[in-house]
Amino acid sequence: MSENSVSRVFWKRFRHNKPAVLGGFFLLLASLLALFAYVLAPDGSSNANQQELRLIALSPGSKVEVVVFEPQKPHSTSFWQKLYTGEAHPPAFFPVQRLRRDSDSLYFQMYRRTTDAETAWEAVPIHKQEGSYRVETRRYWLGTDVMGRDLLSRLLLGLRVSLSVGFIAVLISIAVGASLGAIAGYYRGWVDQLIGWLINVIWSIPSLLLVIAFSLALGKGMWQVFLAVGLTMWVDVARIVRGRVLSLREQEFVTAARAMGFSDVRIIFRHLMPNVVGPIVIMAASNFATAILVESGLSFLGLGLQPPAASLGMMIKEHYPYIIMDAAYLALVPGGVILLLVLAFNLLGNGLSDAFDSKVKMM
Amino acid sequence: MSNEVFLRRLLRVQNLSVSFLQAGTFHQVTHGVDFELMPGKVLGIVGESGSGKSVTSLAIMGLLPKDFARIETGSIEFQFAGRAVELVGLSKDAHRALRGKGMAMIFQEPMSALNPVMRCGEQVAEAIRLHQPDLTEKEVQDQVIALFKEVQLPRAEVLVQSYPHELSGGQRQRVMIAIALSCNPALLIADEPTTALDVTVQATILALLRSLSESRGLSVIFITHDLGVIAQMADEVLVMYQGKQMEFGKVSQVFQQPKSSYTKGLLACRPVLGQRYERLLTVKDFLEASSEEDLKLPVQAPDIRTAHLQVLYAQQPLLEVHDLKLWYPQKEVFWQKPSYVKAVDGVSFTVFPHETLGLVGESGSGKSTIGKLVAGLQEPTSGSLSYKGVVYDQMNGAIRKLFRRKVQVIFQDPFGSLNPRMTIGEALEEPIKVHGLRKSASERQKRLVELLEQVSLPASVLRKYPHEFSGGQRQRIVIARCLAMEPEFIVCDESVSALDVSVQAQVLNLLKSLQKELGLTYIFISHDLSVVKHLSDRVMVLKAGKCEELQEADALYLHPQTAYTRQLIAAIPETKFY
Repeated sequence: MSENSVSRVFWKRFRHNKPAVLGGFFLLLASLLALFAYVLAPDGSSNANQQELRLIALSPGSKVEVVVFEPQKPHSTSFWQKLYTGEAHPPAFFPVQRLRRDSDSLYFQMYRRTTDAETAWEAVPIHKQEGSYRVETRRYWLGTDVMGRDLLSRLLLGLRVSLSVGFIAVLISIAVGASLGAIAGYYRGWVDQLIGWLINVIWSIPSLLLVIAFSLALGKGMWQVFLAVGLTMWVDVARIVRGRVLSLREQEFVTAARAMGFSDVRIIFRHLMPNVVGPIVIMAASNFATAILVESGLSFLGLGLQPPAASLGMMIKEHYPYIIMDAAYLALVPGGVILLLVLAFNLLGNGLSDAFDSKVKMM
Repeated sequence: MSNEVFLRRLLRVQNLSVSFLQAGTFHQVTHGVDFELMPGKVLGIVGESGSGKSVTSLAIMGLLPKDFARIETGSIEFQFAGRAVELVGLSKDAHRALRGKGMAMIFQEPMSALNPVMRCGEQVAEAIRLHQPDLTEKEVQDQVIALFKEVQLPRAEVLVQSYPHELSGGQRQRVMIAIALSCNPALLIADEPTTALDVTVQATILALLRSLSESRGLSVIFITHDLGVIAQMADEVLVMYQGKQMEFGKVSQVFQQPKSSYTKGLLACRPVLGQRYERLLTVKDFLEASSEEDLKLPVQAPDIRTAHLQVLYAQQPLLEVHDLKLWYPQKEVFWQKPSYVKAVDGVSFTVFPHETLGLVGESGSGKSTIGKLVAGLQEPTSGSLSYKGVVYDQMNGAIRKLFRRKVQVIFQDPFGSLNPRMTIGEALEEPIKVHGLRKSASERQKRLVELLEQVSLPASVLRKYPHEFSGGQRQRIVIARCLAMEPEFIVCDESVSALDVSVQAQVLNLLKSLQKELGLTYIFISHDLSVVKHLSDRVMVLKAGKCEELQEADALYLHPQTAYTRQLIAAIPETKFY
């Protein structure tokens, strides 16, 4: 690549924008965490859904001793399977207060929140168990939620959902928006009027309402949310791309390309699109943030992901009643994660937009 | 006014050096400029883009961007209210007080310099009120009308009520001049004020500035790249090149006995209407010439030319155009019968192989549209077009694609006609690939180097991007890309208009030698009759979409048949000194 290539200049400018670089690094980290969520999470089961009613709303940093029963025939899940869906059949466990064992039996006291009253010792003869057991100490770094699930694991999975909704919705919106916008701007005439009409219709419907309509029509679930958010956001992209293409197509390099007998497809994708990449990337960053907010909102309203799946919006909803009690952090932590994600995307977007702008000035 | 006061100089610039911030360090862009200006005189500053002529004028106006530019050395002494004011180091407020009352400026693009949503009269009135707050509203309005009359705007009382878009380019420039004059300045700086205008309009604006200078005793600094304009306008001339002052003196003296070889080159590189040269001299020739012998212009002898033309016209025509029309329907209201804007209105002509047909006309004459129609970039409303005997409408599939390859266009703007996101190599290779002219990558690479050689560029440019090149280099790249298609017929649409005169001469020479070498046929479109005539065998004069006159080029100049052609020739600011 040449010394003065447009992208080289762009990166040089971008690097000097501290907040944007910070936002970028944060998002990189968040993406890695989200990608390896099932491996990194303390609770690697599907949807981090190991409920234990005795462990409801533990405070952050709690340590609990648990007895885990290994099944005799362990379910083998491959690493990739685990990365994608988590452990489908996690071994059963129960928390204990105290343990004692002799040659063939395991004695324990059930876990309780308060230690004042003595509970009975229960004896579990080992030979009666199908598999073997192991005793381990579990630490709940962020405590547990109202269902007794590990909050940190849920948070990582919620992050994963937020980022994938953003990613896929942005991908859909760019694919649809950029092509329709470019076609409208390049061909003008009735094609433009038709697409413009479609844009205006979708534009005029409040986007949350439209997403609700989509969710109702397509059913509730993760993929429906992806699709619904993506199909409402393409209008922004289409409008921007159409406007840029309208002005670009008047430039002589486009006329020159036509004079050289290039096909329309070639002109649109090879000559016009690369010149629209800047605005599209900026749009993508802000759309990413919007998509995350819309997904959280939908999940909060109960229209997005369905339990037991973890989503930041749903976590807020579940713990919303506890805000006035001493467990307010249960709702505030997922809220803070949403805030950081959106902030990071906006900082990144601003940085990108400044970097692209300065390139224009320089030329 | 006593004689002594009258003779005192208005402006004296001494050893002025300005530097600009580039990549963290200051680079000097003008080096020790010296000149002075008497009241009531016109000073022309001439130079190419980047020569520092605009920078010098901005320094005088105090309009240099403070963060990027600083004056290194020198002084600018300006007579104001009976005493000499030193402008270098003057505070921002003091400088602002001088602008308007002491000095005013007009720019190249009058459309963007006027506020589009404000009536023209109001824009002038605003300037008057700002500088003369004690006038009554009636007096202000009277003064506006008087100014409109002074700048010779027709129907002044009506035009004060109009918006900028309702005026023509020339009228807008007159409004700008009226605003500049509203505070009665002693110095008017005009930065390329006629470059965006048609030649006939340019002539009237120049005459106006000249007469204002005489009637008001106004001093004018006239910045231009066009030596012809200087010859017509200025009393004194300052020639600048790469930030250095090449020459300063009386116009007659500089034009008749230029001292620097740059000035000599600049004077010689413009095509002359009266002579037919094989090629043009360039500034480079003068800077590198070792003897007078190197600078002899090869003139084409009349009998050789006659023979050349006879051979040309004995052939079968390559392109035949019959009654070509392009009408745009305009409907005010949808039930009305449409009226038409006739961009091209019944034009017929033929072009012979290896010929150059010149199209000349002012903006709106339809010359560029004809070029686009010929190249198949626009569909005509009616009329027929045939290439090598095949009618355009009946070409299909492979033949249409071949036509697209054989007929090429070179556009005006070398900045706009290259995709900014593609390297030169990619841009040149693409047409070869698309048309399947060279199959293997190594063959294509060889061809690219060959193409660059033809336009005298090194192979190292292949990996660079368009913004790394100057205008002239870009136009060469565009020509190379055009040649990549192995065309027979090239439409040059104002291909040299955006270039500096010396670069223009190089590109014209290149086009001419390529024609000889590759046997190309050209349609050469320009608003500049002298350029068209230099290159063309025949010239067609267009006006309002119609053919005004079509003649052999020399004959057209010597014996114009129509009044419009005569007017066009008369409006060309011809340097009469060489």
